[in-house]
Amino acid sequence: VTPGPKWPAEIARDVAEEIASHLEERSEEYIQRGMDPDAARQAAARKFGNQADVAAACRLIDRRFRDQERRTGMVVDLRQDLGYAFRALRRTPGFAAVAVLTLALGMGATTTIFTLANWAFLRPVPGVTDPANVSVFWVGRHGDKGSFSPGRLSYPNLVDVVARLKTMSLGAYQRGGMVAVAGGGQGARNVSAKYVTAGYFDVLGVRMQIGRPFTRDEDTAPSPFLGAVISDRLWVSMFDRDPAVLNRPLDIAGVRFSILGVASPGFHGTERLSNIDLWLPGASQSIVRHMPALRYDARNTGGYFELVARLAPGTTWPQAQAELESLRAWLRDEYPADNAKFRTAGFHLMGPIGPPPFGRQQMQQLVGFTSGWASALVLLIACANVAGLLMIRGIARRNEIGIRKALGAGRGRLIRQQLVEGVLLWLLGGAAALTLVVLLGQTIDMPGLLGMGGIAVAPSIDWRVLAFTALVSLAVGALFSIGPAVRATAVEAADTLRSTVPTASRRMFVGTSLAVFQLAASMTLLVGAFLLAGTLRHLANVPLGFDAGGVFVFHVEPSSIGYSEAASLEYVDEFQRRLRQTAGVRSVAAADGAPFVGGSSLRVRVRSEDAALDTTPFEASLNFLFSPGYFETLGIPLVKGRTFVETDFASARRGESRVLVLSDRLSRRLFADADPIGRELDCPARSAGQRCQVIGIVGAARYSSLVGAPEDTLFEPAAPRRSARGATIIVRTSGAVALAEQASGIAAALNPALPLTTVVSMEDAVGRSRRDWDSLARLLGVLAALAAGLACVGLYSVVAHGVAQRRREFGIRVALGATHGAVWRLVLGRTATITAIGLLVGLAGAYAFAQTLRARLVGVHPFDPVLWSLAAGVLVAVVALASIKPARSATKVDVTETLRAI
Amino acid sequence: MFTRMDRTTIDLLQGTLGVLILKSVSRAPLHGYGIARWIEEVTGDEVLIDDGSLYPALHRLQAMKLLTSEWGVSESGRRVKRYTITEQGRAQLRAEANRWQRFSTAVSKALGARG
Repeated sequence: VTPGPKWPAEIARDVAEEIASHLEERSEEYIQRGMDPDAARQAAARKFGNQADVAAACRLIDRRFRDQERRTGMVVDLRQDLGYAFRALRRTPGFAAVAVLTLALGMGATTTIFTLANWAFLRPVPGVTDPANVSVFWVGRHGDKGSFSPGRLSYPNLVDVVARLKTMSLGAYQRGGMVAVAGGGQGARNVSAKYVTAGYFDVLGVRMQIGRPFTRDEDTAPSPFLGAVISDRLWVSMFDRDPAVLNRPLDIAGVRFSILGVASPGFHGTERLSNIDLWLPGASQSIVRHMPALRYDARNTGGYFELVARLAPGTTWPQAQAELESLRAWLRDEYPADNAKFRTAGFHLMGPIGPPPFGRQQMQQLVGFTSGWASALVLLIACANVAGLLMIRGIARRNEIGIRKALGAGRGRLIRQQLVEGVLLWLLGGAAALTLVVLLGQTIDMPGLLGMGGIAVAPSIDWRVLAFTALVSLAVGALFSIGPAVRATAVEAADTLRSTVPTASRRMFVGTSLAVFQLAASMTLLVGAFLLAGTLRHLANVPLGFDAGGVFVFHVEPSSIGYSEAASLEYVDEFQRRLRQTAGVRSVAAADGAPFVGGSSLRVRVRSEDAALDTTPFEASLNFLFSPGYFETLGIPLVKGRTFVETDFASARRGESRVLVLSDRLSRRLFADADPIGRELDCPARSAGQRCQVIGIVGAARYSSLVGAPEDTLFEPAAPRRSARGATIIVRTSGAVALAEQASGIAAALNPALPLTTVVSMEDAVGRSRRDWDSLARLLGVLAALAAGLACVGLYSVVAHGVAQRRREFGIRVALGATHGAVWRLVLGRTATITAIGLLVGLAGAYAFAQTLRARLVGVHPFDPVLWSLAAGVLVAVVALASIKPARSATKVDVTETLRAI
Repeated sequence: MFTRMDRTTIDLLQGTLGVLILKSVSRAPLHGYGIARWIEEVTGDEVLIDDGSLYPALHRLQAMKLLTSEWGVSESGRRVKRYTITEQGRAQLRAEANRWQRFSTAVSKALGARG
């Protein structure tokens, strides 16, 4: 049956012709019966009825019929095409495996990056109901450069804000910190805690799995209410998910709380990556942190509250911000004496929760941006490979396609079939990529590898990731298989039947451009990876000013469980004494902090009194030391004078110390080249008029950053009240010492209720400051290696195919006396051209990439010739690897076979 | 030519036009005019229909896949569209004929019964 008419015009013509033919035949019948032609025609028309109506009805029926046919036809065709595609792939399992594997690598890269991006930037904040309508906001002042400095909010003001706001409902919390928690029969451990108000959980829509949150009265009770809400994670790890956990005791920093409730699973705070396990009533801060109790009656003093707000239904963020603005004016005018700060300070809505409000956003964005582009390039390289394979396969299937054409298959149908086959490959590749990502996620700590570790839960595959992969598979698959499909079906049936396949120079051109693109993209990524590796190498060799090898650091905070200052210092002294007796420990010191582990070195302003120098005050950091041996333990060299001795510390504890040690950089800024020993300056961080004497100069050491100049530092023996935040104990060891175990042993012996922070090696701590570069470099390194590997495979298939096509030519050349060397030159000459063009295009890409990275490169010029040459060298090696085998096969063409085939 | 009575007859028969068409092509493929002539002959001009009403019925039967059509050349050398009955069409015809038989028997009985 021939297919029916397709277009509306065809249908109309068809119907009209059928009716006309009928009328003619009827008239003829009447003429034969004896009517004259005119009368016959009229009678026939009368007998027929309303021609226009009939024609319209027929057209309508036919059109509906055609549409229906087309729909079912498409489903049937698709099923056929899919079956055909599966069979075709099964016939060539090698091709299918290589293609799917290639695509799995390419899409695995993008899917991994997307999974991480989704986890860090996109997914809703876990555990929070409808987070798009929740915002964090602060009271504070806006700075000039879009900066914002949070300020204090008093409790009466907070109550007014809560009571008067119409557009939002509010809860509030105060930053807590690490607290020592013991319970469930387990020893103390450090846990992130927050102090929250009663409305906090309600506003966030966080349910309690069991138990309840605190009430408003418990929250502000004059004698602090000691109830705690714990996270699901803590419930599992500390209480083994015991359903009878409610009202069980929990010792928090030595204070006995009881468990009120367990928050819903996944909830760890208002940021995607936040890590809170414990929520305590605000008033309990006065006990746990020894902070002065918040005054619930004073309007002119307060705490650093962070507010969480949920939009009332039907309102918008701009409306809410406008209301906050009018509220600020109200607070200012209603209590002009207490609320003078609201003349300049205001409320700042951060917008829907998710990203960390302040932090390393820029670097995260750069990592996200770079890895997004880099993984897209890898995906494109993989796709180009498979497109190349499809093209070659298309050529191999010319005969089959030609025959099908000769048998009457339409070109559209053939193209569609090839397209379905291509998209099927990409979908299989996408599925394989997802499997790969899941497997990798289970075996490798992906965020840890990328330097984003230490966070609540590992990234997981959610519907966003699935949709992303499916969409990429379909879109990129269709894009990259349409070309090969069109090409493969551009076969004349006659050509096939004559069996003379014309040499397809354009086909070669496409293959070549794919290879050029792959080389260029690889070059771009390799240059980026090498530049970051160069930066890392530079950072690893930056002189620290101290000797990090064999140094370990940890922090103790006896005041957190109620030690007095004297007891606290005694504890720190005893700890050091016991450590000194430990085998393998060379020296021990205690201070308020240590390089690269943070601590509480004080920012102070100093100024030169030398009229010949710049006398404007500048910032320096002041470190308080608790015991002698600090410089020796860290390996900071003494340049001049002496360091502190026991008597300095003894007088400092009486509050009578007047001695300072300076870094040599600072000394030069203050005294130029004059001898600083014995010189005096205003004591930093003390009331005016007190003078301190410089007794020693030490080498400048880096304290926080590997970039730029070392900080200007001053050292002073700790005066009273400087040990409130605990002490950092620094230990220099020789040889392999399990210091963590030794230190925990001492801590347990001294007081089991007081945990240590994790013992970190100074080398790790310094390494952590390279984390951002490290993760970017690793990411780019992996992607560049993947790109180069895939480009190698792609190039191999292009060269091998080129050789296969020119087999006859090589055979004839060899028969005519060409040497192997000549054949090698022929093959490699073409490859060299491809490589040269690829490298040239790659230079342009790498230039753009280096510009993007420029701000993040340290100690490396973005156009460093050595690193660029290294990248080019790697690529040339890849090309050589890809072309050796095909070139060798070209020299082994069987001459007799070639001659016989001519 | 057409009386009120005639009209009613045709209307009554509209539903059965499909069956008549299926029957007409059950021996051999026919084109529209051929089908019209067949109906006239076998019913002895008893069933009077507009020629035109045949065509929507034909196209509908085709859409229902009871018929297929194909352009060809008639004995008189005219290009005509011939309709062929499908397997589905034959089954439909058997079912309809059966039902018609039972219906007409029942109606005959009813009408033949003593009032």
